[in-house]
Amino acid sequence: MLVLSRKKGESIVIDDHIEITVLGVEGETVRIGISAPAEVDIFRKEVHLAIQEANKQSAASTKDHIEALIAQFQQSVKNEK
Amino acid sequence: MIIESASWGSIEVEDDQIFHFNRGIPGFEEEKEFAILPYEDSPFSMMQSLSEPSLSFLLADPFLFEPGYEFELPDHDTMELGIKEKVLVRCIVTLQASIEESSINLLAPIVMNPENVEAKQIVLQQSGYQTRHAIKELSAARTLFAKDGE
Repeated sequence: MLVLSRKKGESIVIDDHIEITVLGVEGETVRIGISAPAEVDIFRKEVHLAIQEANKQSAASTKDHIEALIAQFQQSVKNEK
Repeated sequence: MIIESASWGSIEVEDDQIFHFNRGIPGFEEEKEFAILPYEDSPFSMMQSLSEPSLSFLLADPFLFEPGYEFELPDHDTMELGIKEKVLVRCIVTLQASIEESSINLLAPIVMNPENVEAKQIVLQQSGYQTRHAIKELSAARTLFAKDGE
């Protein structure tokens, strides 16, 4: 990992087209501004990890399981009618 | 074309049911193509990887379960997917023992352009939605699910 010291208002340029600026520091919180091309997706890391985790836990359920659940759903909708 | 699925065996899919995910989806970045196949008589669809037969997901129509569901599709996603008029939105379901106890990921919907079959799982910024909304707690759940004994 590259470690750099920056002061408020100073920036870092990554690969010529991504610029990260330290906007301010309050206690333990650093506010960061990011300028990047539109096709670069930027997420808070914990959000990105949560979505990876949710996807992994949602993958590859067995056919029998899914069919049983959908049958259950269809039955409950039918009952409602 | 015919595709292989660990759950469903060989299944025939139409070209317009195969969506191209330029970056895969989070956690499965190498999976670039999925067939998205509706379940008859249900608000659900299957999302089956073309390259990995054992990888499939259950999708749901979020607007059916949560009629107030809304988000603004960022301009760069609209451009990236080439969306002009038509757009389809589905959300991934995390299955539990019963459908009612299962959850739906409203934070990261699958957005599809049916006209050019480009698709992407987008992450909503500051929407208030989460990766796990219990289906039975969604606003339309009461009309979708009958209670026992009724």
